[in-house]
Amino acid sequence: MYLLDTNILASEILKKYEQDQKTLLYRHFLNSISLEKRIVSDFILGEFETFMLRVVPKRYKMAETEKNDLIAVTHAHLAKLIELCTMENTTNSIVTQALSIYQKYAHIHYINFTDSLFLSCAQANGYTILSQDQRLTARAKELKIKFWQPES
Amino acid sequence: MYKTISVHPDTYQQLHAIAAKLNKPKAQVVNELVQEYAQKMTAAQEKELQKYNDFMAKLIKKVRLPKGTKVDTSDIDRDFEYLADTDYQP
Repeated sequence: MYLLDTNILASEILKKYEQDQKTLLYRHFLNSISLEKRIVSDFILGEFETFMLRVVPKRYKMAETEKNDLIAVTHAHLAKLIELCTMENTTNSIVTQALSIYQKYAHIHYINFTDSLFLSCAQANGYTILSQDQRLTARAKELKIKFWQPES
Repeated sequence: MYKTISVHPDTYQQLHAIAAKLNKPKAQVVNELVQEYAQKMTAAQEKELQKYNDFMAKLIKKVRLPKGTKVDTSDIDRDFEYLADTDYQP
């Protein structure tokens, strides 16, 4: 069971514009995972929506019509993820453990609270992390949380 | 990692009876039943994945970024810095 990070969901949508070798390997691996084994947590859906609707248009200087298309595509993608993937809800214990992780790395190797929730969720459920974020996977390694990465 | 689950007493009794009959630990019986269930679902899952991939292919075609744009999603925290404080307001 693979816990999908925001960057994996975003990369799926922005496929045409991200074609580097490493991303292709992640995408190839994602395609081998059945929908039931793709775990999407509630807070990742929130971050994904903000990233696609607020960040991407600004970051890539999108025109209004292109932005409206992206909004429609993101809405459809969100609905499909919720319909077909396995959803994971954040429990109190996941939040409490996330706070410990957040505080542990507050001053060295900072990671934000969403990433702390992500690590805590994977740890609590024994999920394997799928993320292109190397900072996150480095922390996962330290915390002995499983993660997938292409063989170098 | 081991997790506990609650099952109906009747289900537990049936599990106990099956495990005794097979002379296997209950956990092993549950594991084997889940594996069998998962195998039965594989064909349907593959079909559903294909439908999802077709759906996504159509969606991806609709995304249009300015010409020459190259995206890098390996550090999206950096991209969030493009937002002004007011971008979070409705």
